[in-house]
Amino acid sequence: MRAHTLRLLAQPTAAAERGRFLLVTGSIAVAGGLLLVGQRVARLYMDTDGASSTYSYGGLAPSYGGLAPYVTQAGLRPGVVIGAVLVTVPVLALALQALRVGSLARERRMASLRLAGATARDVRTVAAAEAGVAAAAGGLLAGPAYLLCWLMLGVLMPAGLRLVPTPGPLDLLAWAATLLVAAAAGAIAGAVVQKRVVAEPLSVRRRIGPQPPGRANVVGLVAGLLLVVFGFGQLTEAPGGGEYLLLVVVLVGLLLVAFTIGPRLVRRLGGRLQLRESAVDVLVGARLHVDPQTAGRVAAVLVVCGLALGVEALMVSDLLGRDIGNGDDLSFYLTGFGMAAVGVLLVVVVAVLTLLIGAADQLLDARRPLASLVALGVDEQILEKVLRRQQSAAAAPAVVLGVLVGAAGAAYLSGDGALAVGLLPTLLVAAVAGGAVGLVTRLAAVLLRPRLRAATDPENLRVA
Amino acid sequence: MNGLTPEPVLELTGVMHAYRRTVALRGISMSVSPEEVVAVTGPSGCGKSTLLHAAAGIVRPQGGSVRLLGQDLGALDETARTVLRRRRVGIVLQFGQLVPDLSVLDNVALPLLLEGHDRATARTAATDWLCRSGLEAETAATPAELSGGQAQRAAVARALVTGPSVIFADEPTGSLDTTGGELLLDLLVGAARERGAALVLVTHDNMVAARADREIRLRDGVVEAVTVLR
Repeated sequence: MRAHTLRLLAQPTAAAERGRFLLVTGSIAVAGGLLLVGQRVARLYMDTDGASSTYSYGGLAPSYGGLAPYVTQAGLRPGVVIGAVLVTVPVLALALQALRVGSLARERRMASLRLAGATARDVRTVAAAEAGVAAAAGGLLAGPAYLLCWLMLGVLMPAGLRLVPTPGPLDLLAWAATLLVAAAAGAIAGAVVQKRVVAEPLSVRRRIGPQPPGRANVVGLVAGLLLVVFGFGQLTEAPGGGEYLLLVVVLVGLLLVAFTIGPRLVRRLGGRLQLRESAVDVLVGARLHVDPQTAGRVAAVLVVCGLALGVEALMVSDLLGRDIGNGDDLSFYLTGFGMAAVGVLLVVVVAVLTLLIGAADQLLDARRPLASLVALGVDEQILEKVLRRQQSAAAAPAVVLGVLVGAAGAAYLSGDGALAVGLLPTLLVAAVAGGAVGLVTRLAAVLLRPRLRAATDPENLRVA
Repeated sequence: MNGLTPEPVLELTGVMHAYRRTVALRGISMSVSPEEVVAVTGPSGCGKSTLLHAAAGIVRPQGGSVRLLGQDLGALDETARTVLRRRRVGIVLQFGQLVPDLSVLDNVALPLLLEGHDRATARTAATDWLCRSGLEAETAATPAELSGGQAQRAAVARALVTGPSVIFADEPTGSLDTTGGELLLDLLVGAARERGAALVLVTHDNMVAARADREIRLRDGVVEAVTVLR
């Protein structure tokens, strides 16, 4: 395919396509910006001109321009870097979800292209170009996003609480690398997502149906479990510095376990719901059982968020129950926990946004059966309830489970007595987190109401 | 071939196809000569569209063989079948199936662009066919801005722009009123006869079938009758 043809076919012109483009671009820009922040913080040791970068609590060097101890202390810095990188995971998941959006209109377009003579490979090339361009635009905007982070978290924050150091010349190189990696990864992701769709020249598109978790899922799960067990086992005995590496190992393992086990649990939950008597449960269960991937991925992110909240709940209650010296130290710890909690909140919002987008896409996809249900006499309010339950069925239990597991893990590492002190706060945090996620998914269902109304329009009965 | 009869452009031998448990074609054999206009008729669900899809290489039949323009479609992979369709076959479906976010002009130019022609050449050829289709004022419009009849005429222009040897049309007038249908048939059959292309029309409309040289009537996935009309 010649370049001008590819350019013609890959440019987003329809509203749904433009929305998809913007979502991918925005997500990549945010993720890229956070990664640039992470690398800048990680490179902070280079700013010390070879001097030790280990400082006592609160002991900031003037050259650090009021940076918080969380980034100036060599012992705490990796935590900030890991946190920044971890926040990018759900944002990238959002970008991936965005690539799947607009499916009906999009797949019709792809089928039309096939009818006009495009081969399956041509169609994949178009999809790769679309995604690659959107991701490259995101990579380009990662620079301004990084500067915005610096402005918000480095310039506007009070001295002593600044998290992002002043950008340096090496950031330009990192930005260029981000741009290249984003474009390449976007193109690959676009082609892979398109490969899951069978675009044929007929008016009826055929998608490879949602698949149950397969062999790769088992391998990921086993590998994740091994990493968690190994990392956890060594964590209490690791020499200074090595504990962060082990923490990364544990975190990677947890992410693997969460992302592989999430769709399995959601599928099983769907199967159980299908056995219930309520029509709402049956409809929700059927949907979750057939397509557990989106809800499973979001559940995985929420489990990880819950883990972080659980660890925090236990550590804060443990901290408040001990005599840890002066008030500055307590404020040091609490500020750190507060920042981490804000990060978790951001992740939860992104995760729910991912659910929202997935549901909107699904409404578009299922508009004919939905219109049929309404024609058969199913109340629109029932369908809204189905939608709401579909969002919350896996999300709320996931975050509660995460809180409980996180607190249990932290109690194991903290030693005797921590669980007893932290039990009540942990349960409280679990209840609040579960309730908050339930509330947010309820809000998401309200936001989806116009989409639902459009999907149940009787005109959709005529859609092929 | 005996040298007197031209080699058929399309030849189906014992073609069978089923969708899960529903058998659509039960061993159909037929052929279409160059420049011939053939109507495939029959009641709903008799296998007309499946026959057309198998003949055009869109669907790979589960039994029998299809030779299109001298090529055994069973021996070609999907890409080769697509390229064959793009270069030498035109297809018109019931609802036009134009690419929604391209202009009408780019839609018609698309097969040539995919073939590697430069944009100016492709657009010139597309403009020519749009003028012949009475759509010269609609070149910049998007498919959503066209009426059903206009969209179908644009689809016919897209099918003809590469100068195909065979044109397949599946219920091309199915979504049009009588006048719109007549106009479309004038364009489609006229262009096929003028260019010497074979035309296979799938229809359940007797008025459409009456435009053909030969009618092949299907019932329950088999050929029920063949009628020579002219």
